[in-house]
Amino acid sequence: MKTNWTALFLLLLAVSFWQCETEIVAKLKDNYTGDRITISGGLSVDSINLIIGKSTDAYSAVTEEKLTALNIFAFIEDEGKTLNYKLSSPDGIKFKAGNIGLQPGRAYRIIVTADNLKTAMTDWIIIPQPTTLENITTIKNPASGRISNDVSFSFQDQPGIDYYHFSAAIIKSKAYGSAVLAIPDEIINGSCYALRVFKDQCFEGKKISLTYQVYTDSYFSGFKGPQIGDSIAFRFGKVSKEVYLNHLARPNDDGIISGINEPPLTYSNVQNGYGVVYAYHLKDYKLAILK
Amino acid sequence: MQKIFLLFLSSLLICNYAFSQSTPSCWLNGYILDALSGETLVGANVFLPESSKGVVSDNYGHYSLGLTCGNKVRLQVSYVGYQTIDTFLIPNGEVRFDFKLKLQDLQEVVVLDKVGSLQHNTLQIPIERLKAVPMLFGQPDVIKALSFLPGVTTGVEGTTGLYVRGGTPDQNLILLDGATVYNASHLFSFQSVFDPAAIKDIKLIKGGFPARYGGRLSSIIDITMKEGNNQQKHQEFTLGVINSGLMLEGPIKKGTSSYMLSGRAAYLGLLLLPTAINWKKKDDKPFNTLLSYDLNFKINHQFKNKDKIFVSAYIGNDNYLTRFRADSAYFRTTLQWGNKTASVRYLHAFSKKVFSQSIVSYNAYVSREYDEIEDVKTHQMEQFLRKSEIRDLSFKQLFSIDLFQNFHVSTGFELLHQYFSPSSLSLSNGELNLDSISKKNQIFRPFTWVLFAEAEWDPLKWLKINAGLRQPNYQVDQTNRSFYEPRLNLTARQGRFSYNLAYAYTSQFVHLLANNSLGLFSDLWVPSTNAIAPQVAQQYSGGVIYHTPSRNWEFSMEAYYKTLNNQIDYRQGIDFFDVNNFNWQNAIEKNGIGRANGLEWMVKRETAKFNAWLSYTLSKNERQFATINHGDWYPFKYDKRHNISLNLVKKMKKDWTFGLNFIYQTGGWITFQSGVYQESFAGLGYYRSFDSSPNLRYVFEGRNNQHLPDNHRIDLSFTKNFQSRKHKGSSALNFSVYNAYARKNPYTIYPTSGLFYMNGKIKDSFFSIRGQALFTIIPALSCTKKW
Repeated sequence: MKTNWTALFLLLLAVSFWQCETEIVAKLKDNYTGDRITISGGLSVDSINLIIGKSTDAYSAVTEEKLTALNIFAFIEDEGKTLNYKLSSPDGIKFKAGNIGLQPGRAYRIIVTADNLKTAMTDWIIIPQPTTLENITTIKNPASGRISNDVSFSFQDQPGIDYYHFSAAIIKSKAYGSAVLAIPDEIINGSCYALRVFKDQCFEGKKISLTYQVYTDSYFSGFKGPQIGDSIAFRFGKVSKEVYLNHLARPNDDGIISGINEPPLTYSNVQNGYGVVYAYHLKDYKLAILK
Repeated sequence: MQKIFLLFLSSLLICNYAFSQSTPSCWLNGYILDALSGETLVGANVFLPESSKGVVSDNYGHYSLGLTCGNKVRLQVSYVGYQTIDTFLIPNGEVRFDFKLKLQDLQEVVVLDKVGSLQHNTLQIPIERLKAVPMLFGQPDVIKALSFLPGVTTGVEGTTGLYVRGGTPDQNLILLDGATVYNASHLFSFQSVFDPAAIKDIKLIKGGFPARYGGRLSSIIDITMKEGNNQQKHQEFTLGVINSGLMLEGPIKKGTSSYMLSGRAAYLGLLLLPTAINWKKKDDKPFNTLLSYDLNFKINHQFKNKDKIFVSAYIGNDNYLTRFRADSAYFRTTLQWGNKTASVRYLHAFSKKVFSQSIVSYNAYVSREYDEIEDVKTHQMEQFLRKSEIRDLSFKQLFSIDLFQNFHVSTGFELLHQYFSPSSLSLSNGELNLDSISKKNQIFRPFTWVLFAEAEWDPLKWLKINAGLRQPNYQVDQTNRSFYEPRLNLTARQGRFSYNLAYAYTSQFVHLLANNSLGLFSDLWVPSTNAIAPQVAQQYSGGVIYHTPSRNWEFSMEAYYKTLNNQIDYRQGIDFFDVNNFNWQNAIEKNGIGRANGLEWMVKRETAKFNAWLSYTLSKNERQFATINHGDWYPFKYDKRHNISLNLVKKMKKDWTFGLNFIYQTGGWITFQSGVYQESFAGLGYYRSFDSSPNLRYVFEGRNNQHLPDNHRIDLSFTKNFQSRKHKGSSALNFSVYNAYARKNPYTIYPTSGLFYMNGKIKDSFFSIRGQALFTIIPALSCTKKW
């Protein structure tokens, strides 16, 4: 009898833990409110690159057709109504323009019409002013058990609210390397950082110096270290507030993590539609790797 | 500001004086005790059936009753599971008398409480009743059992975080013998820290709070540990599926002092020991293990002058370890969290009318996350330590004064010194010692002092008034905050009906930053600061209770409306798995408000053979923040419109007991995407030529915009009791089935999606909503032996 009880106990124990996680598929109410025009992309002084289409519901399979709006007419205009330029598209999705005379410091908006959809219009978007680095240097740093090229740079923030973009990576045939930016506490604590964009409220009017550690060793498998012809790509400049607000509103992750993290509500500067149109004024630097 | 408080106190005394001129009083007071063990009985009733008046014994088993001198009165003293004393007496002067109640039937699990205290907004439940509720893994859990009561719900199935009348788990003041317990959960919140073998009684107050209680907005959960048998030694051993425990009790000096010691440990760690050994042998297979334990200790002594002293302590900890190898490094993570509490309580009677309770208590809650990354080849180590800590040291003095027959005053003060270290970080590299890398760890040392006074007055035969004022004063970082918290409770009794109206203003100086009810190590307890205002709530409630002439059935209905101010929440888009990377004060939204209202119904049947609770709560619970959901009201995550629970315990023939639970809850809320569109980041790549292809972007338009599926399940338990005549002991074998019909209630729910491109065009895609159900049909076996 005693043996039987022990066997039953162990059996129950095994069954309990074996089946204590089961995947389920749930059906939730479709709360989609209807198709709208979508506009996404960026403006700069020398180019316009937009994707224009329409939204669809999130609860069924997505196809190219569901995301494509028909008979799209897209225009860009400025605040003073001196510019009213029709954007062209070879495929009805990607709308582009070269240098059409957009000016830093001026505000523009995009207006889009399409069949069976409400006319959509962006808020006014201001092209940022150019910014220059005061210096940029690279040193080889073998400390911390890793080998890196430390890219140090500094710049002077100007009065007013600005949003800075900076990024660094090792490039060869468009391949990414790994780079980590040492972000000062005051920037993180002041919540002035979203992806590769910094809001200057944490260093308003100050000169700021930052360093990128661009790793050039083979610490992780899959990364073989710098090869012949590699260089460090460094990108710096200002972006409009829409970039920052869009980054802040990005969900942190997909899958099971999104069931725990609370997703932020989607940011959009498109009236009667979805999407984000932004402006940027960036400069690229190509730096040699120190070996 | 103290003038207002003194004015209130003075008005009570004037009122007393005026009332005293008309009523000659005699007094009856003492303790209500278990006749066999000498243990005091908390929440026992002393009742005058002819006038429908009565009192309930306090946390020390003490009662005090005013009577008219010279009139013969009938007195009933009762407690669930004990034989009622029904007697007559003629009061004459001030009499001290201890009632000793005998167990009705040693094999009864639950027995009729014939008198019934008919307390509104308050539920006082003996531990034996709560232990009879079938639970996950067959482990009795006093906190989870409370979720079967109206107005109380849990967040995620199987967890211990309680949401009382629209509040959050941090808004429950959990007291263990007078000491605060901050995190009452073990095993990632699947079990509460309270060992049923060590607990005597639990009281839940969810509205109309007496002025002596404060510091939290939503509820008081007052838990009393067993004092220990002061007549003879006893032991209780429990063997369960996930943990086992041993409780020892007995007299230190027979009749005057006793001890109780209990320990409980979960042994998942033992089961996973082989994988840990393999890891040590460099087998390199990943392993996880979780260890947890509780220790409870209490001694008490009664002095010759009838003064009493109680010393209680609790220690509980969880340790989760995980090890794995990825690429060229070993990763090791250790999570630890636990509470320590200690309290000394001293009861003294200055006279037969004036009683004093002095409580010194200490508690600490610490959580740690320790990570190590070791290079496989070089054995170089990187270490990361995050620690969150809160410590309280408090002194509370309460005076209870029986001024007149129908007039009782309680007054006193509290002093509370706290230490908060919400999140300290340190990192080391190579062989260096841990070295602070951050100034994020800000220490707070708030000091709180509180004055309170309350009067319980029966101005008319059918009317009882409890009016009080509580005045907390909070100091932190040169900031002083002071509140006046009026409390009012009106109870009218007519025949078998009891009506109640209550109002309570409450404030709270501590907040819990948590993303859910899981009690994870990443949850941060943070204080009110210069920038973060204390939480404030007002609650209005009213209700009626009816009992049948036999008092076997009780029907109750209560309604409440609650407003919450100065609520905080994590900022939108915060990654909870990255909470170390920002200062918590910059990661929160402040000045939120909330509103909750509900109707609660409950039917109770309490007889010797059959006990049942059926409760239904209809409620609504919303929040509003200026920076969340475009400033609009949105449903609270655990706003569950309908909540039905049924608990039955039926005593069968041949010492079998059958238990059943049924639960139905409307699902909570979740933020889900509604639409999708193509997004471009043209011009913003790492390099000009790096611009990536368009990707899909989901549209989230409203906070908590989706209802989750409803939860429901049935739990069953069968218990066979054995009585050993030879050893004068007893044992019980329990078989239970949690979620008997294998309902897949989601523990967490999330979307999965995929998109496949070909030649720059979408070729295929999928989207589905998936979830994890952790607890489908869980059988369990446990046995308990007492001797």
